[in-house]
Amino acid sequence: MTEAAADSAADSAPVLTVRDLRISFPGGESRVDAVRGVDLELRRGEVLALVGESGSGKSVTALAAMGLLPPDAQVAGRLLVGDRDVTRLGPAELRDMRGREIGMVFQEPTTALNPVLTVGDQIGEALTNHENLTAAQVRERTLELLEAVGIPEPAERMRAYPHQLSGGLCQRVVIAMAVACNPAVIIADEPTTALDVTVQAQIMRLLRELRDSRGTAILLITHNMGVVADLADRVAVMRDGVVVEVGTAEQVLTDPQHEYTTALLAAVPRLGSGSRAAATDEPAADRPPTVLHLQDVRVEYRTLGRPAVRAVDDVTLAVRRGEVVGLVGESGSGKSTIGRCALGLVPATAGHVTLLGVDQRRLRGSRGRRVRRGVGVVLQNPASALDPRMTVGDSIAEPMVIHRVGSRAERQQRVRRLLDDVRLPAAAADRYPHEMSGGQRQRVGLARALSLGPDLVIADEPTSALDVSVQETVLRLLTELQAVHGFGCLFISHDLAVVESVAHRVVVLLGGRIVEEGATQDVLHRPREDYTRLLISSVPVPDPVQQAARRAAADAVLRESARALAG
Amino acid sequence: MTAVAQPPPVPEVPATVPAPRAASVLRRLVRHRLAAAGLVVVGLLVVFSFLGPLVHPADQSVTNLQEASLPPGSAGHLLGTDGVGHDVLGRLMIGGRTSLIIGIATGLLATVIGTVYGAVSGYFGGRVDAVMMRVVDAGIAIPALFLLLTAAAIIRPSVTSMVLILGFVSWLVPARLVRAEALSLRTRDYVAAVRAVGGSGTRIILRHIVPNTVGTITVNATFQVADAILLIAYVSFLGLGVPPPATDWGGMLSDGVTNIYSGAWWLIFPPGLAIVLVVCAFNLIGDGLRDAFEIRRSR
Repeated sequence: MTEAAADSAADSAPVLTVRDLRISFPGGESRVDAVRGVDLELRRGEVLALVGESGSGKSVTALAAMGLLPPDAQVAGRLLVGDRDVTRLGPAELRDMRGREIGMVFQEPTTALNPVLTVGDQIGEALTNHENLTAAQVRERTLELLEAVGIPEPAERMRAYPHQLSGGLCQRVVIAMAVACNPAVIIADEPTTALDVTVQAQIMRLLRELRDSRGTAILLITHNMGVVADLADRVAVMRDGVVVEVGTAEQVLTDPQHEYTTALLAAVPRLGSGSRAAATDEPAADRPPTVLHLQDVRVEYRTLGRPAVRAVDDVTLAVRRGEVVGLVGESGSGKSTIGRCALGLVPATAGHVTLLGVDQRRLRGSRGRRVRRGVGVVLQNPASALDPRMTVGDSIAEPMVIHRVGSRAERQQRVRRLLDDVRLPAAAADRYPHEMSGGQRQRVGLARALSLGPDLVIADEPTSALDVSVQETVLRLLTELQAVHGFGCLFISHDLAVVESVAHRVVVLLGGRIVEEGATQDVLHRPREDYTRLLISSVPVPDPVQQAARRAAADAVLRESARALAG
Repeated sequence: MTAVAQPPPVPEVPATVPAPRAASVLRRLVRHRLAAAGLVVVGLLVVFSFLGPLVHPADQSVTNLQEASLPPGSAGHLLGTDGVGHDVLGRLMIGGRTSLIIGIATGLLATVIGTVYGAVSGYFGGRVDAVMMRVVDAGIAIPALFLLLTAAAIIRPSVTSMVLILGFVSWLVPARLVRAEALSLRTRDYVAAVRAVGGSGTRIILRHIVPNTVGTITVNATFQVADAILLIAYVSFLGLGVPPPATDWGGMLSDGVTNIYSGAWWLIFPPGLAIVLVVCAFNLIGDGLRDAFEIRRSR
């Protein structure tokens, strides 16, 4: 199918042509070149993936094609949509072009939709921007579109507001708006990054169907090589504003020519690339002590005048010293809540949380403080995990200050050693977080978590905001330090491949309940539960041939469970 | 441990807007033309009020009816004299001293009270916040001028008592502003990280929340100073300010108004102009500071 599409595409004229595109922004004294001479071509019915890490210029290129760059950007070169050069169009012509000839799908569906308008109104708006339609016609076309993007009960959903729909349904609405006027090109900027893997698989399926049924060309911007393998016909790899490699998806992903592409692919964590063995064969008496124990824990969020929401439901799990327990699940599965509950940031409604042998409820006052000395925490967002007004050294030393450990000089010495542990120069202690990259900040977060020599580290999605190559170094560092210091670790992540590479044991969550748990290789390679199987088969792998097989397997799981439900 | 974790091959872009440091804020403030003008005006007024008497000594405690109501340009009295023979230029200097001291002290006091109150309210949130903010709402509902006049009628006015009274009515606005910021700052991961290792509420408020509202606080403080100078002018104008022979610009204006029909315009314009100048200057500095803290907007 893919080859047939590529063949028929070859004889038609390109719908999007980029010739020697250069874009620069003002930054400090000189201008910053975001894009430095990019050439691309996209034909009808083709999916071209633009991949690269943050700062590679891929999103800027896409925004330029929509004519959505900020006014202080300088653009040179040619950017043809059909036969019109976007860089030379006025505001009115741009408005006319957007939506009709080129549509856009954004990363975050919940912010791409207006919360005070119904989804029907918003799709109607996209239609009437370019066509004079009667109210009845608008309604009819909106229904058609909602059906085309696979929204169940479209007549009902038309009257729904965005917050009443799930993230996946919202993204379908955004896609419906993008294709409303049948544009020749859709630009999809990280269309599945904000979504769960199972939903991501559905959205990718939808985009593929739209491409096949309407012949829409798709410029797919993503950092996820698995998504590329699943969807793209051709791939362009960008780095520092230049395309370093172009080719068919198969060629680029299986036989990369440029060393950067090779490095990028090597950094992608792959499911099934081996995991750490769980230490299960030791006799029970020799097992290291339990550092975190949750017994039938239930967490409910109460809002006045509304029924309580149960985020965590009767969860029992234990983390021992020296082992990494991976907590996996999709959004809303309660995995972050469990982490916060273990830290005492959220109270448990029922059940017992035992932290380093002491009941959470007795962790008040000076005794609680002493116990907390043994706990470190690494949080998800490198942008907000460090206080922007504190130097890195002060941030790392703060837990020591709180627990009155050592003299000032001793603390400074320990900060230097911790920085060395996370491979940062001692001079970093005097720098502020904004002077560091996301990966460096996350390493500082790790150093802060380790500053009191903890027995337990709770890491909540510590790498999910990072580029793959940076993620790889942070993960390697974490496993290494864990092996050296021997702390127990609760590692929370939505990314199965990441969990596989660090965790000894895995706990799979769904809707606040534990679905399956066990040694990493058992759960991820020989899953017992349907949900785990679906989760695993939904993760796209960066190999087009393998991915096609996995997609078929995922469909089979879905069909099977549908049959099971019906029967 | 072997050598691993080579730096990544691609340059990374920091995800956040950098929090501006004091030095860079100051640099941007000086480059901001209007703010620089405001700084110069305030500087000149401070020099004039505090160092001026050294150049132009004028006795302000003794009245001299023989030299009363002299027009500007009279020998030894550049700006003339008032109804009881005080030199207007000299009086403008010591009046400025009172106005500036009261204004700046009040601005500081209101900002300190408001910041602490707002940060505590925002950090704890929930019921504590609800109660603390209703107190602020109640305070805002009472007209400040009314409170001031009542207080001034009961308490003998002095610089200290004026600062305390004015401070007491002006802390409400910074309290609200800081509370709003604290509400969002308390959900940041770094606050969660400090709580998780057992950091106390006091530490979080003083070390993590308040420093991160410094932009809002400084900008608002300059406006507070301007407002306080205006307020003290109102109160003095109504005759309830610092008692003679001390004075401030509002008091001078009040004295001048009684002489307006005798054509003594030189008793009105100098203090009036001084008030306008200092209030505008502080407002310009505040605007400039806001731009300097918000890099994105200044582009």
